[in-house]
Amino acid sequence: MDSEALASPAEGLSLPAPTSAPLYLAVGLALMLVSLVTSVLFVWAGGGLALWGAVGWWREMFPEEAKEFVPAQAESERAPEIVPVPGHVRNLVVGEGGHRVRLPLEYHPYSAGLKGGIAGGLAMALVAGVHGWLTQGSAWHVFNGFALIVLPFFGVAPGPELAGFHAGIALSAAVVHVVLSLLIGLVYASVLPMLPGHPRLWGGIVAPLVWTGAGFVSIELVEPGAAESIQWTVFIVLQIVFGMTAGEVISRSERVKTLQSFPLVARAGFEVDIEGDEL
Amino acid sequence: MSASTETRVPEAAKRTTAGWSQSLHDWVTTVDHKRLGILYIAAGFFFLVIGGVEAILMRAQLAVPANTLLEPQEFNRLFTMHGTTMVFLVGMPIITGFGNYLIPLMIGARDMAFPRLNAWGFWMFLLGGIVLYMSYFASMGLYGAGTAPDVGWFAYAPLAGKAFSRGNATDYWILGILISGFGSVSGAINMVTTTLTMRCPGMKMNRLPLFVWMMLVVSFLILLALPVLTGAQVMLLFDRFMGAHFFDTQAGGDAVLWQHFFWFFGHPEVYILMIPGFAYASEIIPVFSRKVIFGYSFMVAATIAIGLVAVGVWAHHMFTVGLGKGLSVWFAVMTMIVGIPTGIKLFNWIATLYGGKILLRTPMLFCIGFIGQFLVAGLSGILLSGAPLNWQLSDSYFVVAHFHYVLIGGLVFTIFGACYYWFPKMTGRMLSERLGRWHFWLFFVGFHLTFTTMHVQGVLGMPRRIYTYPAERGWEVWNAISSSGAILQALGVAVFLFALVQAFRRPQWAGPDPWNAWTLEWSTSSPPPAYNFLTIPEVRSRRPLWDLKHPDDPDWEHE
Amino acid sequence: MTQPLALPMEPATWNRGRVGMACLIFGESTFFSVFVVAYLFYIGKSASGPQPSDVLEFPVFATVCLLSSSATAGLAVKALTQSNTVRAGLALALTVGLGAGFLGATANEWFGLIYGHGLTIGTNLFGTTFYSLVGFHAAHVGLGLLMLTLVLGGVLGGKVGAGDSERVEMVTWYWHFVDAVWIVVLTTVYVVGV
Repeated sequence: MDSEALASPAEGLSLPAPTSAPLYLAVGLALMLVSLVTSVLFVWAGGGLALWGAVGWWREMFPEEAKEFVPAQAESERAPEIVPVPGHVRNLVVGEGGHRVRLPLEYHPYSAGLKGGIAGGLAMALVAGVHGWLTQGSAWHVFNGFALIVLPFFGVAPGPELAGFHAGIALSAAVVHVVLSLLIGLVYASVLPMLPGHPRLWGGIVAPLVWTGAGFVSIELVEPGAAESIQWTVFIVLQIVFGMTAGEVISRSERVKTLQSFPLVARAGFEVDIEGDEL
Repeated sequence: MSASTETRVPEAAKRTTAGWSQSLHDWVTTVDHKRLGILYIAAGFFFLVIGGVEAILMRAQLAVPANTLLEPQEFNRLFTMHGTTMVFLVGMPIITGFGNYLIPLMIGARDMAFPRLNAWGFWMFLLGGIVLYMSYFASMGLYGAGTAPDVGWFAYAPLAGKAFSRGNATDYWILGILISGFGSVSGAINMVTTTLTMRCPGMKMNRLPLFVWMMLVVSFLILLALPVLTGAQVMLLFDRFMGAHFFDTQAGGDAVLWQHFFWFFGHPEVYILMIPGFAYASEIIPVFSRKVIFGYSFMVAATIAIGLVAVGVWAHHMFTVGLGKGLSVWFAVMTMIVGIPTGIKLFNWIATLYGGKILLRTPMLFCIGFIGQFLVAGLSGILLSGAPLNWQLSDSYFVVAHFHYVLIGGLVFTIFGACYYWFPKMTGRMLSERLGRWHFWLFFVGFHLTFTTMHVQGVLGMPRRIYTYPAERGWEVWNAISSSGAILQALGVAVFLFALVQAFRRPQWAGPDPWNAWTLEWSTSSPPPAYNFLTIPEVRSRRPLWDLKHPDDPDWEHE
Repeated sequence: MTQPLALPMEPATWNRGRVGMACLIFGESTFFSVFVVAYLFYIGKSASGPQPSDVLEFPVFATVCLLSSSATAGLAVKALTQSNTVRAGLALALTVGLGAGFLGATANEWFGLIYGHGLTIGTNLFGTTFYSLVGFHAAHVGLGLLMLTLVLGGVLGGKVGAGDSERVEMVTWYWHFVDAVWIVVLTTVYVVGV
């Protein structure tokens, strides 16, 4: 007569019964292994225990799984039904602003970054040339400083030829200058919209100071002795000129909307006219 | 122990009071996943204290140069036992314990798939630990009776072979881990089977709590890696007892083969240890940011990717054995690649925090500490993945600093967070928030004093596993700072243990859902009844309790 | 009517027994692969002592026994699902017998190797890797035989019927796994290594 048939789920449930069989089996197996470092007697003692455990475990499973009846918790002990929490959920709306929802809804196109880089590079080269002409009678000195970045790779140490025009050095400097201007312009175009507040401040002042500082710290590692050849005040001024010019050009470019602000229909790829800026 | 077709009313229900022997009997014969989970965690913390004492002794010895507190052989035994204990007897059981306790509750099941196998696994683990520590009393080492193994936690051949490890100390290392390894494997079989076959209605795989997903990946890694260790250890046993030549260099055997086998296990092992830490963080951070986890699918995909790639990076532990250019490049690149999915997860936790309403309760403090510390740990790992730099830093304190950053800064911090988070569910009492803060700050400061400075010692050239060092090397200051940090960490753990005791002496009762969380375990009473759920729940989203609490904006409309 | 431990998501094609056995088989595969790798790694590296080509003979009888025992095991499960316990018992008895034949052939081979050629586990690298790989496989065959014998006893005693065919199938899965490992061992030791 199966007493379980009388018990309804509300009164309790059957769960697997507790048993010491696994413990016996575990101790038995462990003793058998430990006999390797103790005494061969443990093989027999362990084997006996393991067998006892194995048989006991078998009988817990076959022919029917051994169960115990666990009565249901008293009503007072049960977890209460989960009730809806008063007050509504307030969804943060895209575009509402504030610190909690800052999404890049619009961004500057890459072309703006390239243009800004070129503009900044030209401005920088112009100022550098003028400064060099005014202070040292040669327009090239500061410009050639760029070559310092690549010269070590060619085994050329910085020296007096930096003061004047020297075709190889000028070419390396030009390549370095153009590549870096373009890359940093691209970085500006990507990053500036993400920064809070004033992009011109970030791009024009803060960023140049940061990478000048990093460069100052690391140049001794890359090319010992090069730090002395660089006029750091001029360097910072030129970086700021670049930053402000590039920042200005980029900020004035047309922004493009990101896909996030498009309705689902457009994002899903349907060809649809998107009108207006309603969010 | 006779089986019968009729159900038995438990003995305890027939008595008016349960004596201590009845309680002990209940705990020893239990097959309930919750009790076994608590047993695993409690045993793990017991071994944590022992392993911690071993660490304190080592730091005391290293605090000043040319110290004579410990003999060199004692020091060797200490670092061997400390490492072995922490990995196999603290890390493995605690993650198995939390997994055992929470997986059935989180998926709406009443127990694990194989409850008796579960019990067997726990006892095998515990007996393995006892066998390992028996070595202090029973083994006949080279130096006389009562010596623990002294070959390092990875027991490289040929040092671990019969010729160089005389006596039985190394055999105790082998047997202890062999026995407890069966516990881990049976736990993994249980976790996989339970997760795949016993989910409640509506709980599709993409509605599983991230905790359960991550334990699933961990279980596959266990099934892959632990038997490899078992095989290698059996080979070592054959070498030591039956005259086999697997790692016997004099007969043509290859000692590096042991390293390959060990680290093929060993690297997945550290992910087995760390991924559950990720699991705890993935549950705690959303609740205490009051936001859903950012990028659920990517978290799952990244975890699976980590599991897969982790199998292919083992020889980054072996860059200095002369692997050759091809292998060095492969392992360096693969190691760097494994940083990518890990980074994705880190970004997702940070994105979860961003814009959330941050509640700085104790579990959250530990998880925020985890985020920063794990970042540093991962970065120092990427530094080590470059083989040439690795040649300089291998076997130095830089490596020691790196893996302690991962295991303590990552795993132990999240384990403490998990303890504060789920202790109320397991016992019905809250842990004191005030003591929790003391615990966190003491442990945090101590951890950084010890292990942040340890990077410097490593770069300055201090090798690991040395029992002392001369004064002229310039390492004394850093070692002294590291040692002082150890004391603070010990105090932090002591505060934690005190908090545990206080929770029972002066209980602050917790309801079913003290943290206003969203997964199924919080719908049961604290502690849950033996059967977990009187009626099996049905779910429609990843946060079933959110749906019940906020029917005006249920999750299933957004998933 | 016993209350199920948990209501499953869908009707179980993949039920507890199958997933559990699949996990066990996965774990055992990685265990065996360590020994296979060691064997392959040490091929040709034994400096002295008997070499594989000198002492090994392709184990035709053993292989035929084991592989056909897989077939009979499959037959046994099919018969059990059709409630044909007589045929199931016969097929199981054949399986056990063939498995025992395999073990006997292995024992015979080892006798010859040890006493005839003086090859032990400590002789050389070949001995070490051969006895450990083949030995562990044989041990798993023994374990499988033990389980099959218990099932056979159950069928003969009338205690195992059609309702248990799912569980019996799990035992045969293990047996098929042991067979698959034999194919790997065969290829490694008697084909590649010779």
